[in-house]
Amino acid sequence: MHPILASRRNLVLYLMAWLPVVAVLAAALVMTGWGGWKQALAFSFPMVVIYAFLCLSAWYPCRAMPLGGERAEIALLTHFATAALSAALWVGMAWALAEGFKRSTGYAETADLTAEHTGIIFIAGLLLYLLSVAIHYLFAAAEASREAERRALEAEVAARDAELQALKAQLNPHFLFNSLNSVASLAVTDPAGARDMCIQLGDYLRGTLKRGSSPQPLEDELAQVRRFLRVESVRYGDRLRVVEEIDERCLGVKVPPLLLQPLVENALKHGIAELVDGGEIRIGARCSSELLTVWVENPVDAEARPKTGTGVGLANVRHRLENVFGDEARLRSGRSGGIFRAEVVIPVGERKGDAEQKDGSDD
Amino acid sequence: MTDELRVVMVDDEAPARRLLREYLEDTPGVSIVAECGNGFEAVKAVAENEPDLMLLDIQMPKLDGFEVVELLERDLPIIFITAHDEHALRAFEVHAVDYLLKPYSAERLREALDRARDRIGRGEASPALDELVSAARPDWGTLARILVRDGSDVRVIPADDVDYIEARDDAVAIHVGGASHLKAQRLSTLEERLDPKRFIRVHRSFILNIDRLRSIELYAKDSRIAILEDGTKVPVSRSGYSRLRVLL
Repeated sequence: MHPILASRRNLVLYLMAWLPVVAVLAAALVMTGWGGWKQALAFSFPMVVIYAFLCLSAWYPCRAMPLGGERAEIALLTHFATAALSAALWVGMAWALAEGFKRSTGYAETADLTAEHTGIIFIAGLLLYLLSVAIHYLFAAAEASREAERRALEAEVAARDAELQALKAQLNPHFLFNSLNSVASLAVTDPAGARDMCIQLGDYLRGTLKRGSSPQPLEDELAQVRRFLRVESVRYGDRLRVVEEIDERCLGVKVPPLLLQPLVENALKHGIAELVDGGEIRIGARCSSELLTVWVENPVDAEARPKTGTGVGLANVRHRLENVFGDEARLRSGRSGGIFRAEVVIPVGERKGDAEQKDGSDD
Repeated sequence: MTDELRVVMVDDEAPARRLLREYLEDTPGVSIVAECGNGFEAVKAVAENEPDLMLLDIQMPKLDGFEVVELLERDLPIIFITAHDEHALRAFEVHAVDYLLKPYSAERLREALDRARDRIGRGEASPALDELVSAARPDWGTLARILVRDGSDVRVIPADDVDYIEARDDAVAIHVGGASHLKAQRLSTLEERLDPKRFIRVHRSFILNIDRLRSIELYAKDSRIAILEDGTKVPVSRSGYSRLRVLL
């Protein structure tokens, strides 16, 4: 629906804007000798009101053919043609109305429209219609910019939301609350253990806050994973065992942050936590001059119920890998013989280890 | 209430159990009849000890807290304990069950115990736990395994292994390779949770695993019989037959 017709207030304001046109048209008629003021006003008023509504129709072609589109000439031509058509229609109405005036006794003598009057009405109709087109375009542009502003605002809100979600996931509330509960438990039975747990939890949180978005050496990522596992091992006790198979030559390879940790969290959540007797998490890394392969393995319960959240952690890792490496990185995961394995292969960029070795050989 | 409150406590994490035990031992009028590290033990402990109250962790291996509730088959007051589970928290609030959020204080635990004691003293029924269970995990998808209790033992039946399920009064008989297991559940409740592409309600009292179907024979006008691979015959109603036909 046309925005002016949509609200009564808009319509009243719009019609008021046309009142000066009534006066100007009447003045033009009086000056060209078409009767007196009273007759001219009585004639102009209905004419202009009707034309005011007619000009609203410019909204539809304006909307169908936005300015700056590829077919600007066609739009312009269309508008001129409709303007001419509207003006002609208006002239027709003027003739009909003048005829009516002639028949009503009060205006009988002077109500004939001459060619000059017709010309004035046609030109005025043409210009008024084109003005209406221009105003409609302005209106549309204002609307578009408001819409763009709104969309930008929405995008910003969505981005903030995503950031918040990411932060929440990193803080891992489930992990935090359970760890605090362990601290509460240790406080009485094992005060030294409680103190250690607080320190480890602090180290882990500091590591989380410090972690930026730029690649970091595998060594740093591993250190953070170890802090995480130390805290978890208090909760899980001997249900959680960790074995590392890390080729030391890989430690300097730069990896995107949070590459390994989601895999380890998964291994815990879907593996160890689901097993009454727990099991062994194996974390491994090996590398060549071009590729780094890291993997996390954990035993799984063959008859475990399907759980919500399965695959979300992996999907996030995959998504991040895609962002950083395009199709040069790979995440494979699968289960075989009661062991779940997630493996990431990424291209090796600049390696800290290499640089150090070069330094060493220079000596 | 002068009687001792006999409680079963269930948590898979040893430190959490230690803390709870410590709190409970300091609380007069409460005795711990069993301490369980997983859901199987919990179901067993309830069957053997008939406690007044259970303190139940949600996230546990094998059987989670909600599955334990499903297997209890008796109206036992429960205080749930959880660290952080948005789904569960909302469900608890809606169903007015008492729950403790880790870490919790001894005072908060005592409050929950008092509330439970009140409820038991007034002979009030526990809040609708089955509704809580379904509200707490709305996106679990179809049931991959059915849990049944066999005395104090829990049996896990993979849904794939089920031949057919039969309604019997207030329970269902789940037939698996010639054996049958009774479970206190309504056939329609079970039907809702099973994979609808595989488990078909062929009759008012029967759900059939479509993979076991060998043939369908006309038995009388408007009534048919499904013959399973092992030769078992299961009645098929007219509407059941039309449901089957859609899938075959």
